[in-house]
Amino acid sequence: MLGEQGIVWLFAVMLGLYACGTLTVFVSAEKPRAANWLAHGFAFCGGVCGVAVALALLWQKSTLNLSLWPVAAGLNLSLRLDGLAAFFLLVISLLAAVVSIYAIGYVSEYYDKKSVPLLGGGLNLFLLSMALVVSVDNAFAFLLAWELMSLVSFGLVMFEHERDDVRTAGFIYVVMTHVATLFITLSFLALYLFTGTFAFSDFRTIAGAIPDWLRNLMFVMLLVGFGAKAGIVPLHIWLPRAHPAAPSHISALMSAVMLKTAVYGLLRMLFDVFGGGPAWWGLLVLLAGLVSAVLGIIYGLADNDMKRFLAYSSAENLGVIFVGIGAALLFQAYAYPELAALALAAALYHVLNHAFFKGLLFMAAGSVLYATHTRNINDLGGLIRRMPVTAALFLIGGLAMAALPPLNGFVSEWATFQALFQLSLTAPGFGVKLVGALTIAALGLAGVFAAGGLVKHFGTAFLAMPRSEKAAHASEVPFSMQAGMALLAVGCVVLGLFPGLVLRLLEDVCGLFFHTQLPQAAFFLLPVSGSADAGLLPGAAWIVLASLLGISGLILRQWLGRSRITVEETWTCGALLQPSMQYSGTSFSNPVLVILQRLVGTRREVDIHSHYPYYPRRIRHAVDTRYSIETLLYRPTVGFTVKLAHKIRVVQNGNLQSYLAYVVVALVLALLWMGQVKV
Amino acid sequence: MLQTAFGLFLQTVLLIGLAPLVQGLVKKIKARLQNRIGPPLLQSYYEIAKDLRKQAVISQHASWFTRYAPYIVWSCIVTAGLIVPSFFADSPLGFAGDVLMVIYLFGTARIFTALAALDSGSAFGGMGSSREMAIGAIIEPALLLAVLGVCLAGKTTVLSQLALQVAGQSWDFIDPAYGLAVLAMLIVVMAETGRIPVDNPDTHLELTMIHEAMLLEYSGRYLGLMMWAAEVKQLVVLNLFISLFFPWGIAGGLAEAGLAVSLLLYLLKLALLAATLAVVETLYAKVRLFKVPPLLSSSMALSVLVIILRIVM
Repeated sequence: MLGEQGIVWLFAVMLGLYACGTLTVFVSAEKPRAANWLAHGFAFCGGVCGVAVALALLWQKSTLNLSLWPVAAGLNLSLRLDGLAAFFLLVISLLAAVVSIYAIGYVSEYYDKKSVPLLGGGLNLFLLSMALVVSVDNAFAFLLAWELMSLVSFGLVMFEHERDDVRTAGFIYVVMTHVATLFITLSFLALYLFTGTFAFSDFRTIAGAIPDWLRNLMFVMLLVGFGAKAGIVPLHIWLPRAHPAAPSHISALMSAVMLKTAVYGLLRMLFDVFGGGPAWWGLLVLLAGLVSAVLGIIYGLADNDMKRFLAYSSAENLGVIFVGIGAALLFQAYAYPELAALALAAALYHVLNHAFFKGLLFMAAGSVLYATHTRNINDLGGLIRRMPVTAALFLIGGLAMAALPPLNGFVSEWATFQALFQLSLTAPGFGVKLVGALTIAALGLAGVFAAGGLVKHFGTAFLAMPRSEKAAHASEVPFSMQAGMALLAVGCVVLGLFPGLVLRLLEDVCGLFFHTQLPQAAFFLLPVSGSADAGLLPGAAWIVLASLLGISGLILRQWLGRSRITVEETWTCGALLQPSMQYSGTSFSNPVLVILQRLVGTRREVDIHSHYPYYPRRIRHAVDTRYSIETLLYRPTVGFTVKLAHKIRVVQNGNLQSYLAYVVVALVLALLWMGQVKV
Repeated sequence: MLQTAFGLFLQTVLLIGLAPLVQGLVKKIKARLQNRIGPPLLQSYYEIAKDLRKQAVISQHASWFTRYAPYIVWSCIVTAGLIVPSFFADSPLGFAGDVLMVIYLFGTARIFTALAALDSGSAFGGMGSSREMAIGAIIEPALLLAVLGVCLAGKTTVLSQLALQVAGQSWDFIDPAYGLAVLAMLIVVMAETGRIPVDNPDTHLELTMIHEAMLLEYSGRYLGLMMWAAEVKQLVVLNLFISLFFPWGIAGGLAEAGLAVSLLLYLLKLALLAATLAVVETLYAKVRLFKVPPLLSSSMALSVLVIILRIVM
C-alpha cells in the first residue's frame, strides 16, 4: 500500500490536477475539442488520484494531517483527512472520474454553440471546491470552500442562461443555497464566540462547555442549513428546478455528490464536534428524513420531466440517509454504540449507493436528452430499440433506485430497516419505538413510489412506440457516454454483492465516533447486531436467482424446444394502434394521484370541443398539481420579503440630496461613536 | 452444503409443483360453493403444460424486454419462495435473506410484470400496469406493517426463527394482538394474491382487471410462465401466512424427526387456507378500484394497533 508520504503527494497531485483543469477556461473557445479533452482528462486523473488517496486512508484506517501556511493571525490553513473525510472524498473522486469520461461525449453537444472551455474549467473548479469542503480542518476555510462550491455550481446551473426556465431555476438555487450558508455561518460564528479560533479541533474541545440552549439552537440552525443544501423537504424547492436546468453531467455531480457534502457537514458537526446530542436531536433528524423520503417522492410522481423526477427522488434518498443519521444519533443518546455504528454505516452505505445509481440515472437521462433533445417523457417512447445500451443501463440504475434486490440500493435500505427495527426494539420510550416501526413502513411506501416512478419513466420513454419524430430518429450515444454509465452500473452490482467490503471501508468512520467496531464479517455478508446468525447474503440470492433463470430457460428449451414466435400487431379491439393510444406518463400516474388527491392537490381540466357533446372533435386534457408546501410556506415568505423590500425602498429613492444627507448622518454618527470609544 | 443443496431442490420442486394444485383447489371449492361443478382439480397443470408448448404471438412493437421478463419474474418469485419456510422451518435460502428480502423480491417481480405490460404499447397493458403500481404502493406497506407486528414479538426478521418461536409457544401466543394481526394479514393476503375484494383473477373486463390486464398481450410459453409465477406467488404468500401465524407442528430442519407429520399438517393448513380464500371470494364482491386503498388502509390501521400492543406489552 501507499506510505504516508505517498498519500500526501497523491493528494497534492489531485488538487493540482483539478487546479490545472480549471485553467482550461483560458483555452480559446474556438478549440472546443481540445478544451473538452484537456478539462475532462485533468478531472479524470484527479478523480483517480482522489480514489487512491481515499481508499488507502480508509483501508489503513489512518488520518492525513497537512498543516499548510497561516493565512491570518490565529487562522492556519490546514487540511485533515480522517475516516469521515476520506469516505466522502472517495464518493467525490469516484464520481469525478466516471463523470469526466461521460462528459467527453456529452459536451460535444455544445461544440460551436456554447463555451466548452468555460464548462470544462467550471467542472474542475467545482470538483476542487468539493474536495476542499471535505478536507479542510477549519470552519473558516470550510465556509470559503462551501461558498466557492455553491457559486461555481450556480454558474454551472446557469450555463444555458439564455433560456428563461434556467434563469428562474438558477435564481431560486442561489437564494436557497445562501439561506443554507447563512444558517451554517451563524452557528459557526456562535462557536467562534466560545473558542476564539475557527479550527474544528478547538470546536471539539469547547463543545462541552457551551450552554444547552445555545447548543440546541446551533443544532437546529445546522439542521436547517445542511438540510437546505441536502434538499430535505420542505427546503427542497431548488432541487427539482436546478438539477434539470444544469447540463446533465453537472446534474449527475450535483445530485450524486454535492448533496452529500451537506451530509458530510452535518455528520462532522453533530458527531465529531458535538459528539452526539440529546435524544430529541436524533428524533428530529429522523423525522425530517422521514418527511423528506415520503413527500419528496410523492411530489415527483406527477412529473413527466425525467430529470425533475430524478431530482425529487434525490430528496427521497437524502431522506433515507437522514433517517439513518437520526437513528444513529438516537442510539448514541441511548448509549447503544454498536447499534449507532450500524445505523451510521447504513446511512453512509446509502450515501455511496445513491451516488452510484443517481449518477447513473442522471447520465442516462442526459443520454436521452442528447439523443432526442427533450426531457418530456410524453414525447418519447420506443427508445429501447434505438438506444439499447442506454435503456439497459437506465433500467439497472432504476432498479437500484427503487431499492430492489439484488442491487445495491436494496442492501443499504435493508440495513436502514434493520437499524430502525432495532430502534423499535431497544428504545426506552414508547413513542420512539413506535416511530421506529412506522418509519419502516413509510420507507417501504417511498420505495414502492420510486418503483412506480421507474415504471412510468422507463416504460414511457423506452418501451413501446415513439410518440414524436425526435424519439423515432434517436440514435445511441457515443462510446464515452456509454462507458461512463456502464462503470457506474457495474458499481451498482458490485456494491450490492459485497456489502462486507463497504463495511470494511466504513469501520474507520464508525470507530472514530462510537469507540466500537462494526461486526467483522466476510465481504459478501451484511451482518446485523442483535442476533448473531442473522444477516443478508445478497450473493447467495443472486446465485440462486441466476441459476433458476438459467435452469428454467434451459429445461424448457430442452424439453419443449425453442419458443416459437409469430410477430403480430398489438390487439386494440380491431383498430390500428396509434402512438397516441398508448398510456402516456400523465395517464400512468393518474390512479396514484387520485388516491393521493388530498396530499398533492391534483387539478384536472377537460375541455371538449364539439357541436354535440357525444361526438367530440378535440379534447384538451390537463392535469396540474399544486404542492401545498409551496403555497403554504414559500408564497407567504416571499410575499412578506417583497413587502418588506418595498418598505425599505423608501430609503433608496434616487434623490441625490437624500443620499448626501445619509452620508452626513453616517459621518456624524461615526464621529460620535469614535468619541465615545476614546472616552 | 449437501443438505442446503438438497433443501433448495426439494423446496423448488415443492413450490412449483404444488402451486397449480392450490390454484385448482381454490377454483374447485369456489365453484362448488357457487353450485357449479367447476374445472377439474388439475386444470391449472393442463393449462400451464399447454401454454408452455404453444406458439407465442408477440406484438411488433415489443422489444427483448417482453421475451425475458417472464423468466425474470418466475425466477424472482421462486427465489422469494425459497426464503419462506414451508413444512420445515429451516428454509433452504433462509440463511441469505429475511422477510424484507421476500417482500422486495415480490417488488422486483411486480416491476418487471408492469414494465412488460407497457412494452407492446397496448392501452390495456398501460392500464393494468399503472393500476398495479398504484395499488402495489399500498399493498407493500400494508404487508410490511402486518409482518412487523410478528417480527416485533419475535425480535427478529428471520423467518425460520420467527416460525420456530411462534410454534414453540403453544397456546400462549394467542392474544388480542394476534387476532388483529391475523385479520390484517388476511386482507393483505387477499390483495397480494390478486383475489376478489381487490382484483378478480377470472375476468378480462377492462373496468376491473389489474393483473390480467398486464398479461393480456402475452401468449404461449411466456403466458404459461407468467401464470405459473402468479400461482407460485400465491403459494409463497400462503406459506408466509402459515409460517408467521400457524406454524404449529412445523419441523425444525430436514434432518429432524416429525417431518412426515409436519408435511401432512402443512398440506392440511394449505387446504384450509385455500378454502378460506374461496369462501371470501364467494361472499364478497370486487370493490371499486378507488375503494381498495381504504380497504388496505384498514389493514394498516389494524397492524398499527398490533404494533402498539406489542410495544406496550
